[in-house]
Amino acid sequence: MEDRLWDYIDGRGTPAERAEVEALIAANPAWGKAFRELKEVNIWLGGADLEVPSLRFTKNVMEAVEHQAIARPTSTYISKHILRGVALFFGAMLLGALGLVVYTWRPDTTPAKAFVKMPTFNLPSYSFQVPTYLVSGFVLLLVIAGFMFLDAFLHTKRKMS
Amino acid sequence: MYKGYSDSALIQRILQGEAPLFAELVERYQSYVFTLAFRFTGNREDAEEVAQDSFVKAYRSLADFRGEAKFSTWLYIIVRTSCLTFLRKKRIRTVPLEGAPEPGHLPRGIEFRSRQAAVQEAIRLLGPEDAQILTHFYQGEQSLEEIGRIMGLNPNAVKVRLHRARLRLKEKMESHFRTTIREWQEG
Repeated sequence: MEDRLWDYIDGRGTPAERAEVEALIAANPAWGKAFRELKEVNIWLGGADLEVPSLRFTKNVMEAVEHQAIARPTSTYISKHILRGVALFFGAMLLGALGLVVYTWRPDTTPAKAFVKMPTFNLPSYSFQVPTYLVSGFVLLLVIAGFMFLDAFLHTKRKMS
Repeated sequence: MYKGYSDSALIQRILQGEAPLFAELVERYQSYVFTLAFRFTGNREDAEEVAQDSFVKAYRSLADFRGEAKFSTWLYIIVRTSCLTFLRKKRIRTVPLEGAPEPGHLPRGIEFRSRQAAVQEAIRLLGPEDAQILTHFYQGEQSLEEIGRIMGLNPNAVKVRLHRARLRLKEKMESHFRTTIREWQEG
């Protein structure tokens, strides 16, 4: 209810939505009461003044910039072509590595099989060895999930600061 | 003399060498920049320092202002960055002085000469993000999109935060200024 009332007070929403809210305000006592309270808050906030700095503020700023020079625009020393070139280089490296993996991958010769003995489950009438590609895929998923959680954690930390 | 000039026209002239015209831009936005800084720092001395620093940074990087957004939006992004940097560098520890109100609380019976003073005090009791978003929307008359650009949020997130800030302000007003509000309503 409050979200819709604030949209109405702020002048947002389609004419149909606004007409619906107006009808609710007129017909429903709870809506009417809430509208009056929120409108009052809106009036309070609309009348709030700005804080005023000291009288010397402008003079202080101009004294500070007197000895400063306006820097060159960043576009004059950061070339987009160079940035694109670097991105292309790393993209090509990644694709090359992926291509090499696809080209040389064989189910019987993956490194994991050479170094890690895969666990074997021996059930009464069935024996099953964990395929190496499953282990590799699972480790890859874990790494990706780890990066995603790290990114979310850092993003949250940045927002909180 | 330069009151009728648009911000972009002033900036063009400053970049062509008329540096003293920057004072006109400072005059136009000093109150707003100072208010934003005050919402973060909570005291006038630090707010003046941050506001002044923001204008200096804006002057130095004036050549990077491309005119895609309003100058005010571009400036307020610099102010916000300066405020966050200032807060990170300076660990502000508020120690309640004897007789002084604790942050977020006011002694009962405080009278305000005007409604504006009471609302200002209530805004000061809010957190810096809430106070900032209310200042942008009401005193700066910035749109949700512009506020989103300043704060690094999408417009829907700005809308949600704005609603929450208003709700918190209402709660502050009701808990600290109940008598004052009643007088307004009766008067």
